[in-house]
Amino acid sequence: MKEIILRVENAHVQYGGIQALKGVSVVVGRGEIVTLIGANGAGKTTLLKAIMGIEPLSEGNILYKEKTIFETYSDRSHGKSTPTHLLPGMGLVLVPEGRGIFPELTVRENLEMGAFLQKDKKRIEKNLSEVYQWFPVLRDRSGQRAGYLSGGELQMLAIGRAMMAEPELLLLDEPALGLAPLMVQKIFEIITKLNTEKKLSVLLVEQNARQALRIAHRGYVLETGKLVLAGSGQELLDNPEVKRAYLGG
Amino acid sequence: MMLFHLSWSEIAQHVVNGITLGSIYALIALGYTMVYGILKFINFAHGEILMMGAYAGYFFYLGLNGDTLHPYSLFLFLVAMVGAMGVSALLGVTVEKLAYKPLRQAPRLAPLLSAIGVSIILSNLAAFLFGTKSKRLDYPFANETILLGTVAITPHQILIVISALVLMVTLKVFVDYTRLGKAMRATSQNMTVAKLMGIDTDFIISLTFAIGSALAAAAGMLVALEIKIYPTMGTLAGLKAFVAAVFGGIGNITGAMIGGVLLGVIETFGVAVLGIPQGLRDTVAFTILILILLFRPSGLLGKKEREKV
Amino acid sequence: MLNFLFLLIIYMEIYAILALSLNLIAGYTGLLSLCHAAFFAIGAYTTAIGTTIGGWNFWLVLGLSGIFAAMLGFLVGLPTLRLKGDYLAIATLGFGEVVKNVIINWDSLTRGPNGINGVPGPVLFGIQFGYDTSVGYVILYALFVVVTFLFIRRLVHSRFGRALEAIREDEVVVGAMGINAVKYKVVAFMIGAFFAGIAGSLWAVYNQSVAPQTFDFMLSVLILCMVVLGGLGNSLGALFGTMVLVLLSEAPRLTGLTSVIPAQFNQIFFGLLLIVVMIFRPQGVLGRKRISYENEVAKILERRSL
Repeated sequence: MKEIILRVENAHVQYGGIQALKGVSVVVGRGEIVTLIGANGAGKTTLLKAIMGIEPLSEGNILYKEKTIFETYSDRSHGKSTPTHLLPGMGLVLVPEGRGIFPELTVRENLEMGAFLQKDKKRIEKNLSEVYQWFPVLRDRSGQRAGYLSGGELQMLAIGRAMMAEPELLLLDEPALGLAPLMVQKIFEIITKLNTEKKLSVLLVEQNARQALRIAHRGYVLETGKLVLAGSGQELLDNPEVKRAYLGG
Repeated sequence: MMLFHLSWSEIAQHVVNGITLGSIYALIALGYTMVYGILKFINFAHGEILMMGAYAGYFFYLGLNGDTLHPYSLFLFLVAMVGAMGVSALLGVTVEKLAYKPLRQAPRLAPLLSAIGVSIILSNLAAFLFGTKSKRLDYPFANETILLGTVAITPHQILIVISALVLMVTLKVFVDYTRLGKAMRATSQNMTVAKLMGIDTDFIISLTFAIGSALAAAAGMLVALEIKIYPTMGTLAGLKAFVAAVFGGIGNITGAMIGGVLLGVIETFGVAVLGIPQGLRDTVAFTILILILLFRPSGLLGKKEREKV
Repeated sequence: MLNFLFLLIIYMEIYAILALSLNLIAGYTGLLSLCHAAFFAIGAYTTAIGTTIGGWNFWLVLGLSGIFAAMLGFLVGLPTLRLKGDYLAIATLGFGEVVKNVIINWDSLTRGPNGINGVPGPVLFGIQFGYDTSVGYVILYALFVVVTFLFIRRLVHSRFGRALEAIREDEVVVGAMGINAVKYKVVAFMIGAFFAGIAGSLWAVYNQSVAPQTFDFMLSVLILCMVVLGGLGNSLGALFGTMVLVLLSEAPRLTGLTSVIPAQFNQIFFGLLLIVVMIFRPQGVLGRKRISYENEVAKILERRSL
C-alpha cells in the first residue's frame, strides 16, 4: 500500500454566502504527480489555499503525512488549524497563482527567502547552485530586481524558490498560466524531472488539462466546487466527457 | 555672495540647524514608515510611545546619574537612552498585540480609531502618573557653543546627528543584509507569500513595532534635552514626522530618512528666509503634506500604487 | 442643578447636530474626516465676529456661518477627497490644525488665543435670549436638531444618498459605472460642513463667547466617537452616541465626584471605550443598515439612462 502524503477529506470552504468547495476529497500518494483540472472558478485554487491554511475550512479535515493539519466540524465544536508559516517547515510548499514573487527583492534574495527556514549556509549554497543548474537564466539575473523578469522567468523563479525549501509535497497553482507554449513545455518537463529525480510529490492545479494529464499519474476533475471525476492520467485523457469539456473535443 | 539675502555662512548655519532638526524627524518617521510598510496602517499612537520613552529615559538617567554633572554623565545618558529604547520597544509590542492585532482584518476605520484610543490613554496616563508640569532633562555635558568658522554648533546638535546616523545606518544594514531584515522586507511586500516561506509574520510585525518604537524613544530623549518632557510632547512631533514619512514615500525606509532631514531643512529655511512667524512654523509641515498629497501622494521615493479593479 | 441639566441638554443638542452632520460625511459616505471641529469653529467665529464687530442680526449670521463653513468644506474637500482612507484622515487632521493655528494667529480678526466675548443672544418672538432663558434655548435648539435630522434623513433616502453609500462601499466600481465620485463626496462634505457651521453659530450664541482652544483635534475625535458609538451610517445612532458621550464626559460633575476622580480618568476611560468598541462591536450600538450596494448603484444608473 503506497504511502499517502496528503489526504483531504470532505473539504468545504465558504466565501461569504458562496460555497467554493462542497465536500471535496482528494488523495496524493508519495512520489505521485496528481493533477486537479477544471474550469475557472471551479474551486481549484481554493483547495490549494485551504491546504495551506490561507482559506479556512468550514468543514472537513486535511492530513499531511498522516498527521492532521486542519480539522473543522460544521458545528464548530472543535477543530485544529495549523498556522500557515509552520507548513513549509514540514515540507509542504505552495507555488501560488500569479507566482507570488517579492518584486522589490533581487532574484537571489527571492531564492534565499525560499530557504528562510534553513540555517545551514552550506546547504543553502548547494540548493542554490542546483536551482541555477535547472534554471540557468536565474543565475544570469541573480542580482536583478525580481519585478523586472518576464513571465516564464518568474515561473522558473517561483519554482526554484519553492525548491529551496526542500519540499516533500509541492503544490503548484496554474504554472502554465500566461506562458508561451514552448515555455509551458519546458515547465512541465521540469516538473516531471523533479518528480522522478527527487521523488517530489506534486499536486498540480491546471487549466491546461492536456499537458497536466500527460504528466500526471492520477487526476481529479473539479466542477463548481465538487469532484466529478477521478482516475489515472491516461484514463482521464481518454475519457470522452473530459475530452469534450477540457480537451477541445 | 547672497542667496535670498543670506550670506553663505548664514545658509550654512541654517543647514546645520535644519539637518539636526531633520535627524530627529527622520528617527521618528522611520517608525511610521516601517509599520505602514508592513500593515498598511498609520500608528496614530507613535508620538505617545515616543513620549513614554522620553519619560523612561528621564527616570533612568536620574536614577543612574543623579542631578549633578559628572565626567561620565554622557555615558550614563546613552545607557539611559538604550534603556528607554527597550521600554518603548516593549510598549510598542504590547500596544500592537492588544489594540491593533485583533483589528487586522477589520475595515480601515477600526484600527485608526483604536490607535487614537491608545494615544488618548497613553498621554493621560502620563499626565496622571508624572504630572502635567514639564520636566527638565539636563544636558549630560556642558552645552557650550563651538564655532566652526562662522557657524555655531552645540555639542547637543553633534550628539543628535551622530546618534541618528549610527541608528539609521544600523537599521539600514539590518534591513538590507540580515536574514530577519530581508524577512521584514518580504513581509511588507506580500504577507501571505511570506508565510508560505515559513516566515512567522506575527513575529515580524512585533519586531517592526519594537524597532520603530525604540527609534522614537531615542528621538524623544534627544529632543527632550532641548524642549523638556511633558505628556503631550508626542503629538506635534509625531504629526510632523508623519509628514516626513509621507514626503519621503510612506513604506520606504530610505524615504523616511531623506524625508525627515529634508523637512527639517525646509522648515528651518522657511522660518529664516520667508519670515514665517514661530506660531505658524508648524504650518510649513502641513502645507508640505497637502502639497505632496495633491501632487505626488507616493512621496519622493515611493512607487505609484494603482488600485486594481 | 436644574440649570446644569439644561446646560447638558443644550450641549447635547449642539453636539447632536455635529454628530448628525459628521455621520453624513463619515457614516454614509465613508470619509474619514478628522477636521469637523474646524467647520464648527468657522461657524462659531463667523457668528461671534458678525455680531460683535458687524452687529448683524442672528438669522443673517446663522446663515453666513453655515455658508462659510460649507465654503471651507469645499476648499478642504476638493484636494483631499481624492485620497484613500488613512491619507484622507491625516490630511483632514492637518487642515484642522491649520485652521486652529490661523485662528490663534490672526488676532486682528479673531482676538487670538483670548477669543471673543460678549456675543449677544438673539431676539426671537420678542424675547431676548440670554442667561436666564435656558428653557428657550432648549426648545429653540431642539428645533434645529429636528430640522437637521429630517433634512439628512431625506437626503440619505434620495438618489443622492444612495450614491453616497455606493461610493462608501466601493468607489472603483462606482467610477467604472460613470458616476463622478469626487463630485458627490465634495458635496456631501460641504453639506456636513454647513450643518457643523450652524452648530458653531448656536454654540457661540449660547456661550456668548468663543475661544480657539475649544476647537481642537480632540473635539473632532469626540464627535467621530459619538458617530461610531451609535453606529456609522445611522442617524438615530448618532443621536444615541451623542447622549451617551456627553453624559460620560460630564459624569464626574453629575455625580459630584470631581474631586475624587482625577481629571485624566475620564479621558482614559474614553480611550478604552474606543478600543473596546472597535474590537468587540465596531458597528456601534445600533449597527449599520446594510443595503446591497449593487442594487443601489443599478437603480441610480437606471434613472440616468432614462
